Amino acid sequence: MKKHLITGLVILLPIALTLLVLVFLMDLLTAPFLGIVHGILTFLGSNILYLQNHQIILLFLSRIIVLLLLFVLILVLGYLGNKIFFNWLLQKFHRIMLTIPFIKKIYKSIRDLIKTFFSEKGSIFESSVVVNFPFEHTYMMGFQSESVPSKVTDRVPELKNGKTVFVPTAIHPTSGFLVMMKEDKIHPTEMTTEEVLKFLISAGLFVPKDKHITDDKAPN
Amino acid sequence: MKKHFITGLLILLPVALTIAIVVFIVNFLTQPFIGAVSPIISKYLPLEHNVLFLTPTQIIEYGSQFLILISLFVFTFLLGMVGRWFFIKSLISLGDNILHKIPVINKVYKTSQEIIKTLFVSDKNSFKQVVLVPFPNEHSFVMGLISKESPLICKNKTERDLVSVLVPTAPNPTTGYIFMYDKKKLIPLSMSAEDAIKFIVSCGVVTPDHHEHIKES
Repeated sequence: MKKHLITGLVILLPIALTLLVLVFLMDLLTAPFLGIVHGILTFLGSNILYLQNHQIILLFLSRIIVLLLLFVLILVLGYLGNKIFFNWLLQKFHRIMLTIPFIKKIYKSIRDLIKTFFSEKGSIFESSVVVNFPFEHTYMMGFQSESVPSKVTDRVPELKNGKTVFVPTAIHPTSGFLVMMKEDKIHPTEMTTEEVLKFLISAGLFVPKDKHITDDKAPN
Repeated sequence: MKKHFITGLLILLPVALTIAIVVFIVNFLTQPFIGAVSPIISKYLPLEHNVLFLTPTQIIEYGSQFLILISLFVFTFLLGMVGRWFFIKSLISLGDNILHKIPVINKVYKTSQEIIKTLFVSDKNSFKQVVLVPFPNEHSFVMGLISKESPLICKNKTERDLVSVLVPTAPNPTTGYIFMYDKKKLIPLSMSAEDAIKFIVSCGVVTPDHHEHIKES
């Protein structure tokens, strides 16, 4: 009995959690426009489609329409963005945004962040690593990011070849420390980003499959 | 297709996020008063038809939010102006004294008053200077922002010249540690606090170098 219950949970939970995340994302993306589309659809629904008694179907339909419209809008914007005239318009728009007090601060920071994130090739983190944290005898998993900025290496020459390492906290890997270290203090691992995240979220219960632990020398 | 999609995202996302943040702040500020203002507006301004895409309730909601924002601004401004007059000043300190005497409320009031006073009155150099500090051991460094001189009690107990440094966590800089470092251990950087925050929020991807690189291209 207990065995079956657990097997059932193991089958059901991943599906339920995936659905939950998907629904959350869909709600987040469609919420700002849902009112307009839903209004139009209700109007159409009561006059043409005779769906006025099916509120759930209407809501779902309007969510899907919003998602599709968003997708098309992004594509069209991207297509136009590469055209000269539209590009000129965009530059004008940015110029205007940067003159509005208060809003310009938010806009500029977000734009800088997003621009760099997209100009990076592939994932943000180059590789997963093991580092001494917080002191010499303990180790923590982290992600290697970019090189140490030149304004730092100007003052601390020993970090010249160093890297920035993000050391996430466990269970919630959405916060952590950003430490700058010398290269020889950073020990690369063959684990993928997903495997490190799973290790952290499961508080060390998840261990990656054997193929990765080939003949990995323990960092000394 | 993928290229166009990413370009489109690049154009749309900054605008969308900016709007989201502004809407959040506006909602936060107007939320306590909207219940009182919107019925009054709907009473004196009976709208029945849609204007463009907006339903009457939406027009009333946005209108009252706008009104609340303006009146909040005017109210704060007037309060600051009037608060400098002698008569009003004594009235304010009377109210202050009364609030200090009510149990439970006086604890909350005192604490928030003291924090806000120090935030506004303390010198403007707090959280402006970016420093590099050794954390968690001698071989690794993190970025922090100088808060101010550490409390005298800590300085005298340790017999060191201590400075309080805020070391935010990444990528969410709203939590962090306040470390008290010996002044000699601090390595000042010629970076703006904004750049340091960007560095932390982006987990080290956005550096000041990167910034200059983008500007050039």
